[in-house]
Amino acid sequence: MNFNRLEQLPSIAPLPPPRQNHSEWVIPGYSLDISYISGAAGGLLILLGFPSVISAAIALRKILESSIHPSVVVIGFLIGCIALGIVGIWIELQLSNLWRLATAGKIRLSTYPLQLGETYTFSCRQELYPNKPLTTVAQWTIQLIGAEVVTFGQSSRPSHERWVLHQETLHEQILPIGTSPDLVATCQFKLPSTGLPSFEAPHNRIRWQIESNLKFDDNKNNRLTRKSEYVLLVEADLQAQT
Amino acid sequence: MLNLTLQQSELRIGDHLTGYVQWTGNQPAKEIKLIIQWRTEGRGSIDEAKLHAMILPPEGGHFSFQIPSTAPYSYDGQLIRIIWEVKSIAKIAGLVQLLKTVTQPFYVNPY
Repeated sequence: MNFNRLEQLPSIAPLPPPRQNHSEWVIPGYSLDISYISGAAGGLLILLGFPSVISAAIALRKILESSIHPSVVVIGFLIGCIALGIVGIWIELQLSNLWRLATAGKIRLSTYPLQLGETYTFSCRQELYPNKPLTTVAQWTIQLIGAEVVTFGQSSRPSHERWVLHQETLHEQILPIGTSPDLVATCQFKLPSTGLPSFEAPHNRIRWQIESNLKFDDNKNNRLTRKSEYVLLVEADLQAQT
Repeated sequence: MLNLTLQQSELRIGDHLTGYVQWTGNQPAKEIKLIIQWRTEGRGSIDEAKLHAMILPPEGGHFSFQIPSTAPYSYDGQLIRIIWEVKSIAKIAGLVQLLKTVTQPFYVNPY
């Protein structure tokens, strides 16, 4: 099977220091955080939307109740304000729906770093936010990805690309409405013995990572996705070297 | 003439890279510098690391370097190439300082 493909990436997950918790290693996930963008946009839209709707509605009502006969232009302007406000509030609700989906989770492994040629079992935990059961159907996919990842361009606005060398689906699950917001899956994978160990340089990387994708069906058949990445440190297969 | 000879062209992590540098120019060399490094080529911005640098006698000399366990392997991928090389720079004595550089790549094998 040929996995090779080029992808543009919006950001690069940092290589996080894993935490050792008793006999297991916890690797925190990375997720492109859009909450502050949508939060700011939503706040602005609410700030402009509600006052424009309310003030325009009050003005329109007063005009219609009084004996003054306003021009069509004035009435059109006020109706336009109301429409714009309603559209703004609607966009804010869509954005808030997008960022309230899930937070980056964590995976737990019994050994770390990993070695090529070895088989590993891990548990992946993903919490939904807010802490309520699912209100839409979702699909949860967990994949093992091996890829070349590069950064180029201006340091202030870098571009990122990756070339996928290995891709393997480890877990696929349809989450029905009402599913608990605390998602846990246990997966197993084998790192290919002929694969490459991790390489981490500032602009060039050979990476192994677990990717967790939650795809939510919203009411209008649009699919909203929340991706979490867990970067793994993989060392060479020592037995193959001897 | 600056000659750089590597005893091995393929190594594995932990192996020793050995070789020698010889200066046979008409003018004597002031000093000869030897650098062992890896660097990247390809789509991404360049990364490089000089892992070993030493000054050899003006006429040249032997060197030995152990590939560290934390070093990357040679790699020729779609977006990234990791290239290992030995670079020798001779400073030639004289009124105007001249530099002669010779570079020899070698391969660090993962298996």
